[in-house]
Amino acid sequence: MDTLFGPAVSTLETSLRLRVARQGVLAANLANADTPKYKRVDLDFERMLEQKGTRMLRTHPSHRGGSSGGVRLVTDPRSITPDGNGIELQTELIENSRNAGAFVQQASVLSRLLLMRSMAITGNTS
Amino acid sequence: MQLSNIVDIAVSGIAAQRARMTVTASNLANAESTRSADGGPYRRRDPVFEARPLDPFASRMDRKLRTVQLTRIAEDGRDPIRRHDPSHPDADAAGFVAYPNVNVVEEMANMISASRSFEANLVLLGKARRMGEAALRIGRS
Repeated sequence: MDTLFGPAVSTLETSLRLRVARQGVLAANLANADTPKYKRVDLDFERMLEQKGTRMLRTHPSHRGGSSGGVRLVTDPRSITPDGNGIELQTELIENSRNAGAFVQQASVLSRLLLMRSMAITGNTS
Repeated sequence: MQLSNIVDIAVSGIAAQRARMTVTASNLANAESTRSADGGPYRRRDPVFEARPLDPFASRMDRKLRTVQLTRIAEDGRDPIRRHDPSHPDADAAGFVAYPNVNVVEEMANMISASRSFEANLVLLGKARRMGEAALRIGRS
């Protein structure tokens, strides 16, 4: 269905859903920051968006490519501590802040698009 | 995944860190206690955390996520610190007193770490709230 802003709205919707999922994953990492042998978990965001029919463009050589989809277990060898836990508080907080910020931004863009659509329908610009 | 799940996870982290802080406080308060209910000096305690599945009936992805839970409070097996103090009422025949195996510096480091983790989980709780507010504003002018 090709409606006004249809693709943009559905992409934003998918993205918002994935952002909430990722926020949960990051929350789990942070909650287990002191659990021995806990392994860091992260979402493969790009792959998941791609599966939903949206593709991120690689516009810079340092952009990371996609890999195995779904929830991916990541163990960072640099952050392994004697208790076998690979969580760094600052890394999680930064990622978390980025993710929540992106969610708020995209929610506001989605809101604006819906508003523009309703303007087009009603002809009411106020 | 729902925002309420994020809140659940963050709350589990906050509760675990608060428990860890309590255990540390107990260790610090009893750093000089030479008597305890089970005889001998106070023994240092350590909280043991375990990663628990969020919700067994959740979606495939959510089942991989873990909350944290305090499963037990373990006693530290290290020997008591023996200090020479013949005037102490708990001194043995040779004049040595068995003091708790508590290292104050270690406890302070533990306390700071617990406090940092507590705050980090709290930040996350605030973020989840802000995301919820942003979602509620969708469609409003």
